Amino acid sequence: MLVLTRRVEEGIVIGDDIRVRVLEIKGHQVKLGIDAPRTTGVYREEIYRRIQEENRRAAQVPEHSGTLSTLWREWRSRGWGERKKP
Amino acid sequence: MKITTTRFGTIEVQDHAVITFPGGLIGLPHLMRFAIMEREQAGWFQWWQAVEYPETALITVDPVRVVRGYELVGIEDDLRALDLGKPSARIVAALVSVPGGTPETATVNLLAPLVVNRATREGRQIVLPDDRYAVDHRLDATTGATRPLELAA
Repeated sequence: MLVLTRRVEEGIVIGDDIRVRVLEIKGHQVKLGIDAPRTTGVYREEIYRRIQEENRRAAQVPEHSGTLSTLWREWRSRGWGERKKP
Repeated sequence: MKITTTRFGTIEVQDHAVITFPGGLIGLPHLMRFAIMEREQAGWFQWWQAVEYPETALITVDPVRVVRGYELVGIEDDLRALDLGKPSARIVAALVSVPGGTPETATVNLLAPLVVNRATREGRQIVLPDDRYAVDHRLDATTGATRPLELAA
């Protein structure tokens, strides 16, 4: 891993179109400002990992195609989802 | 085009029914093309069959059906930049996990929905910037059961 030391107001450039700047340091917290193209995903690491994990779980649906109709039957019989206004 | 699948056999899909994710999904960058399957008896749910991976099909649901008033909060600027500012311009789908095939434990990823441009059929998985919605919202949770708003500093 490349390790760089930066002060507040200093930054780094990644490739041609990503800039990361140290905005503020307070105790153990660092506030970063990031400029990147909208098509580049920028995520807090723990959230990225969580979504990655969840996506992989979603991609492991049991093989039989009846899963969906079972799910829908449950949905209706148990009244899941958004409810109509009372 | 013809697609081979382990669940539905070999199916014929119209080109316009194929959605492309140029960057794949988060953590699954190889999953770039999906065919949306319209199946009977499935209600708000849809299968999204991976075009290149016969054994991979994702279950999706329109998040508005799960939580009343579901919104793509905090990414309005990005949506406009992608020409997706108008709700009618986009398809929004949330991924459903069904651990072990047990519907009672099914969860929906409301934090990182799939947003697709209806005109170009291109999609992205977008992570909403605050914690209003859960990554693993239980389907059996009652309506409006979103997590308390904990905005990160």
